[in-house]
Amino acid sequence: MFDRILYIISEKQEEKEIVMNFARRHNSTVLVSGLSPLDGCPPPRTEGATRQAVRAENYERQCWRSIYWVEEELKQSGIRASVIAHLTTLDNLQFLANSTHCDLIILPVSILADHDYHLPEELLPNLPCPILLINNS
Amino acid sequence: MIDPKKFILSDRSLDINEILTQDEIFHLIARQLVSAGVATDETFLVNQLREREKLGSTGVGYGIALPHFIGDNINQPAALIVRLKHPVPWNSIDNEPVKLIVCLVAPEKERNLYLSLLAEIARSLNTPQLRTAALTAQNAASAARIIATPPHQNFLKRNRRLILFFGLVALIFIGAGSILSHISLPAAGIYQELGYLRFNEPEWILRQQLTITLFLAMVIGTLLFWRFRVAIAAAALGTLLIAGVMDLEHTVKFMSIPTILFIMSMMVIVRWLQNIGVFRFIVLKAIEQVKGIPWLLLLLLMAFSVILGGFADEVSAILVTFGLALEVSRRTKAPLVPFLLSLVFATNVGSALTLVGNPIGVYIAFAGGLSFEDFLRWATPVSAITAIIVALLCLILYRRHFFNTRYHLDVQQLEKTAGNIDPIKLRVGLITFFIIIILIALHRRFEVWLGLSDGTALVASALAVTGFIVFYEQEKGRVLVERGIDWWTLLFFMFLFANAACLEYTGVTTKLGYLLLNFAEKIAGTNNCSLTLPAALSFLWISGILSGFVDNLPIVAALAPVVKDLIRIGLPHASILWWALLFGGCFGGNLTVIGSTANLVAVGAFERASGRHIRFREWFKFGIIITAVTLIISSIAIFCQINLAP
Repeated sequence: MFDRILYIISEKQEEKEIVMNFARRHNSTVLVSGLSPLDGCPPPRTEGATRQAVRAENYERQCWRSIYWVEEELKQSGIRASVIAHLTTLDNLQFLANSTHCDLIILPVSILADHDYHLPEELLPNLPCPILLINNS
Repeated sequence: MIDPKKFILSDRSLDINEILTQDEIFHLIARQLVSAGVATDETFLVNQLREREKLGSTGVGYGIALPHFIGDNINQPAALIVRLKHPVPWNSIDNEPVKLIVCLVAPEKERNLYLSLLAEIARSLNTPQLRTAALTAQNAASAARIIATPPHQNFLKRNRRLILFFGLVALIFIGAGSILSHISLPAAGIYQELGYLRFNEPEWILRQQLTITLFLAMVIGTLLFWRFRVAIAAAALGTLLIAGVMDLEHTVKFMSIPTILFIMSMMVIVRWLQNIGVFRFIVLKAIEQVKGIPWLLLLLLMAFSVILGGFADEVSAILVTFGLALEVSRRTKAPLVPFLLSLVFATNVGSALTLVGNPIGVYIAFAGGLSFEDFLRWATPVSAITAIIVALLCLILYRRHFFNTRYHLDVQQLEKTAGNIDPIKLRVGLITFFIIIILIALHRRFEVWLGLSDGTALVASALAVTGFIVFYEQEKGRVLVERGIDWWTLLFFMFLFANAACLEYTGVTTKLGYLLLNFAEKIAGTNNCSLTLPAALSFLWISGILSGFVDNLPIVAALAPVVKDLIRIGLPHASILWWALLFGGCFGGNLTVIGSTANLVAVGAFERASGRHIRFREWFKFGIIITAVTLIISSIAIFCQINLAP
C-alpha cells in the first residue's frame, strides 16, 4: 500500500523507530530527506561567513549526518532506504512528493516547531499522497 | 569539521568512456580501491556494493550516485570519484541515469568520521552550482577537486548582488545629474503658464536627481532582492523625506489612499468569493457542457481566465482555472504546459478587460479619473479581441495536444475536489458577485447623481460590500480580513505610489514628457495632432517590454504622471496614452516567467504539482510571440481610435 515513504527527519530522530516499524509492516522503501535551514545558507566551507550563515551551515552539516545515520540504521535493519540529493522546505514538500512519486509522507511534529506547528495552508489539499504526522511523546 | 580533500582519491578518479553495466562499474571501483590500498578483497567490495544497492538505490537524483558502506575489511576511509561518458540506469529516486559516482567506504571503527564525510560530500552535492560544476567538469579528477574543495566565496563574490546594486545606484545618480542639467524646459508658452520653469533651477535639479536615483534604486532593488521590496521602498521614501525632497503632507497624499482602499476591499471580496467556491462553481458548470473535447475545454478555461481576470483579479482567475486544469491533467494525463501557458496568457490579457482586473488598471483609473464605463469603451473591446486572437494562436501553437484526442472527464469527480460547498453561501456569493459588478459598473453614474467626486462611489461600493461580507461571516470575518488582504503587497503599493508621485512633484516626469514630445516631433513633424501617436506607441511598447522583466506597477506608476503632464500641457487626444499604458503593462506580463504575479502563481502551482521546473527559455519562446502579437493588436487599436480619444 505504501511502497515509497518519504521520511523527513527531525533533529531528535527518536521517531525513527515508528518509521522503521511502519516501513517493515508495509514492506516499503524509505526515502530520507531533511528540512533545509531557512535562508542564507552559504555554499560549503565559505570564508568570512556571518555568524548566522555559520549557524545555518552547521545545522545543514548536522542534518546530513542525521540523514545518513538514519539511512544506515534502516539498511542495517533490512529496510530498503535511499537518500535524496537535496534538503527540502515545507513549501517545497509537494514538489518533492511529486518528483519522488512517494505514497506517504512521514513528518515528525517536532520539525514544525519553527512554523508554529502549522503546515503551509496550500500544502494539504495539493499533496499527491497522505501525510502522517508523528510525535515520539 | 572534516576536510574531504584528505579522503578523496583525486589521483585515482576514473573516467569511463565505454558503455558499462552497474555491476561492471562496481568491479572497476573495487579494483581501483584495492589498488589504492583501501581494501584487500575485491570480491568483498563488489558484494557489499551490490548488497547495499539491493537495500535501496544509492542514486540520489540529478544523475549522481553515492554508494557507501562501512565494513571491517576496509583499511581506511576513502572516496573515489567516477565519471561516466554514457549514463547508466541506477534506479535513482528521480529515475535519471547516473553519470557521476562518488563511492565512499570506511572501516567500522571510523563510523563517526564516515558519517561526517558523507555529510560533507552530501552538502557539496546539495549546492546546485557545485553539483552542476562537478557534473560538467572536464574529467573525473576535476570533479573530484570540485567536490573536495569547492570554490571559496570571498567577500566580493558573496555580496556581488549588493555591490551591483550600489554600483548601479551610484551610476544612476551621476548619470541623472549630468543629463538633468542639460534638459531645460522652454522659458515660454505652456510651461511658463503652468509654472514649470522652477524645475530648471539648480535646487530642483538636485531634487530631481535624488528622486530619479531613489526611484530606480527601488525598481532595481525589487528586481534583485524581491523579498525585501517593502524594506527597499520604505527606505527610499524615508530618504526622500530626510533629504527634504518631499514633505510629510505630500507623502501621505501621494500614497493614493483611495486606490489602496479599493484594492484592499477587492482583495477581501475576491478571497471570500474564492473561499466559498463561487468561481469554481461557475467554471465547473461550464465544463459540464464541453463533454471532454480537449480544444473546447482549453477555450472554455481560457475564456474564464479572461473573464475572471477582468472582473475579479488575475491571481484568483489563474488559481481557479489552472487549478481545474491540474485536476483535468491528473485524471486524463493531458499535458500541463500547454494549459499553463495558455491560461496565463489569457489571464494577463483579460486583466486589461476592466478597471478591477489588475492593480495597474485601478491605479490608472484613479490617476486619470477614469470610470468603469471608460474602461468598457476603451479597454474591453481591445482586450476581448486580443483574447480571441491569443486563444486561436494557442490552439495553433499547441494543436498536437488538443486535436485528435478526447478526455474522459467526470465533472462530478472534479466537483468533489472542491470540497463541500455550502449551497446557501454559494447563493449569497453569486448574488454579492453580481451586485458588486453592477455597483462598480455604474459608479460614475452614482457619482454624478449624488454629486460626489470621481472615484468616491467606486471606493464606497467596495467598502460597503466588504463590510457586508465581514458582518455576514461573523467570527470568520476577522480571519478573512487578516488573511485575505495581502498587507505586505499593499504596503509596498503605498510606498511605491508615494515614490512615483515624487517624480511628478519634483518635475522629473514633466521633463520626461518634454523629451518624449521632442522625440515625437522628430518622427512626426511639428503637427501637435500627429505627436500623440508616436507618444502613445512609445508608451505601449516601452511599458510592454519593461513589464516583462520588471514589476509592471512601478513602470506604470512612473509613466502615469508623464501622461498627466502631457494632458495638462494640451497634447490633443492625450487620454489615449492611459490605454497605451494599460495594454503595455498588462500584455507585457506574458513575455517572461516573471512578467506578472499570475505567471509566478501558476508556475509555482505547476512545479509543485508536476515536480519539474519551467525554464526561462521554455516560457520565452511562446511568451515573445504572444507579447508581440498582443502589442501589435494594441498598436492597431490605438492607431484606429486615436482621433476619437478626448
